[in-house]
Amino acid sequence: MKQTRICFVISTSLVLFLFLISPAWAQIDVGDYTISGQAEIGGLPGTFKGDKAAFETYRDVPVGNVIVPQMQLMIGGKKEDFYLNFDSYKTGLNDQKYTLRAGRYGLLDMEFQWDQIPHWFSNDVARTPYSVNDGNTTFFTLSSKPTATTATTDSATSPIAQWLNANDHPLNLSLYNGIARFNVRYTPTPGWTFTGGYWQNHNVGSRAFGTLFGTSPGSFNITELAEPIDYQTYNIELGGEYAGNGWSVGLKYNGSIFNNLHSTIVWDNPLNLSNSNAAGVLAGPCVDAANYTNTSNGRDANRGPCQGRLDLYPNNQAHTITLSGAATLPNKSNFMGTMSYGWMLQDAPFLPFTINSAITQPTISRNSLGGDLRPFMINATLVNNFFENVNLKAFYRYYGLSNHSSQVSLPQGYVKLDSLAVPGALEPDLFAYSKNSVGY
Amino acid sequence: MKRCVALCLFCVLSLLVSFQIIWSAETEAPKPAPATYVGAEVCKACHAPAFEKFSQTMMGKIFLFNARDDREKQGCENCHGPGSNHVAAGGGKGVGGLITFGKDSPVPVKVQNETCLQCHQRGVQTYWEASPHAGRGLACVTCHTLMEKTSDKQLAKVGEKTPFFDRRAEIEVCGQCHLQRNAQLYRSSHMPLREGKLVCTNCHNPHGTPNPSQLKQTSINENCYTCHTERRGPFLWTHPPAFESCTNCHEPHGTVNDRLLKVTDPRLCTQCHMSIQHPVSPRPPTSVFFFNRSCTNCHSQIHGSNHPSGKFFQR
Repeated sequence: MKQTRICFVISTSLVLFLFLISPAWAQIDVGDYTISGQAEIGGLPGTFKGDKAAFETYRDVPVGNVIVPQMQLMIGGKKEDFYLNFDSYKTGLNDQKYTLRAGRYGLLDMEFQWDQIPHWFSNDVARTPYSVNDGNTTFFTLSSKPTATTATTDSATSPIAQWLNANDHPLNLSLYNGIARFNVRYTPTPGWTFTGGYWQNHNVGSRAFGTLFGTSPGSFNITELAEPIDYQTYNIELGGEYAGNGWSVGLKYNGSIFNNLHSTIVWDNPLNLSNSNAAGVLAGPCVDAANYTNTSNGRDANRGPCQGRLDLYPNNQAHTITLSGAATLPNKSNFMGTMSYGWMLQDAPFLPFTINSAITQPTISRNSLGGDLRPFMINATLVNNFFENVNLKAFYRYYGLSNHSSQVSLPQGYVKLDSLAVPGALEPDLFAYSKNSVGY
Repeated sequence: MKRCVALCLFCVLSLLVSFQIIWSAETEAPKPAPATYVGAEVCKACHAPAFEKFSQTMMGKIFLFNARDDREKQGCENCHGPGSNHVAAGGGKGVGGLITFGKDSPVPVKVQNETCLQCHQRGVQTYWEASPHAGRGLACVTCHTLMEKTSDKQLAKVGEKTPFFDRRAEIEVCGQCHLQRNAQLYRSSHMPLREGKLVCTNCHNPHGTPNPSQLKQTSINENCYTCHTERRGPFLWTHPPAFESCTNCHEPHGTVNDRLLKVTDPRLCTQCHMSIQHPVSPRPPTSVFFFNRSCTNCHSQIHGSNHPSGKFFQR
């Protein structure tokens, strides 16, 4: 009885220690430095399994009695002239975050940050018969095919359903976003401020998306794939500003480069059976056909292409220069103005119209878009506070998104869904717009 | 009639003269001697706890230990004004003409804010005077706490629930007034704000900008492209609504539909595509036009396609 009571007291104390304590704070002096910090730990019941929960969309909830430490460490000189702070959050988990900030008071401030953001779509729910070979072009390949093309039959006993159940395997659909940031701010005098920043974003994972063969309406089949995502984005920011007595002017540059490491996907058409034997086993090279219908037997002239090919987001870059300023005017008036000009560029090579060898490639006037969008914004705002409790404001704003992309011509039309040549000259529209706003 | 007019004029003139006398009497009241600066150490003598807390803040470290010019050397009086009259009167809240801050302060919000703007009317605060927050009479101290260290941005503490390291402090501060936006963050389809991975100021500058909705970038799309760089294009085949504004289809603060869509598919698409192609005839609920991702089952490249055969955003 006594042992049970002791055990109860100890376990209760442990639970209280784990779940009820508030952040602990401490400070020590070491030579000319002061080191202080605070820390917090927590836990979750062992029976809880977080990775199936909807609220874990952007979180990592650990399974079992895992302690989640959070810590803040601050080091400063006794002369109060510099600082060094370190924060950690959910160390060791998928959504961990670290921040290191250091500087000299009133002169320099530097911050480095590492942040991870998971994004779960589903765990083991999505299923696919494809195996995936990654690269710049991602191949979704099949090791076998259905034994008959009854694409319009959707019952569980259809050959296609049986083939899917026999060959598919589960996969997780999720994204993982890793972000590294570095920011610096330098103020040599109270008037001058210089800022710089660099951040890199790596987004990797997969998410569900649909592709299809055939032509709509009435003759198509959708193939569900796991879109491979491997995005790298590099951003840079540089700025300088001077603030005088009652006025300020600043100039800033922003640059951003986006790289997609999976720019193309190619996937097998499960319903072209020209390379499979009666048992659905792949037995020879597939043969493309120039038409597709969903009533095809998979071997006839309407069996469609062996593969489909789709272009994912192309690499691009953007640059922006911004000039802004403000001035205090007589009679309690203030003027503020901004002018911004940018470039959004994209010149990735075009893919061929189709991967289907049974269709003659149409012609195109250029090998790439030469995409060039130029946003331009100018704003002037005047504010008057002469009358107490009456805020008078007048502004003019122009925003224009002009399109300097090259005009592309498709004189022989295009190929619809790798299955059908669609004749007729085409010229994609070059969209642009502008907005003028005046208000008071 | 003439008498009436004359009487009215007399009354008006009498009123004006009366006001003038009262005004003169007010303005001619004896003024206290101009206050002078007494130095931070004098303030510390009575306000030791506040002084200690303030000395832990970034501004306190600069003013009290690393001042760069005469203004910063004034320490506490840099913001509160010269304190000699306050000291001579023996102290007391608001005594001696000190500038005090907060919602209980008798000092007008404009005066409070002008004190901050002496140094901070630059950078992200350049457009403060034109911002909706300034227009609605918000004080800087409505959102910021200055006298003690809170978060990196010195955000105000919202109750005792402010989490460890104030990770969500910003959302809580904004959410005090923007209740609908705060509620939207808790919808099933949301960006990771409530998880502490994003904050309101990733997209908005509450101090004012020349852009719609106080966005940091010059257009809605450019704001979204800051993170969603892959959708920036430009593309060979452009989907005009996506080109114009992401918010034509998405509600970035959170929705109950997948992918932050404003309306569930296919209703979203049929708002524009009313009378052509697929919607012309009723479809069963098991149709590919309805289940899963609906229209984007096939039109997966709906944000734009760079494929020569991507006219309908299917390649």
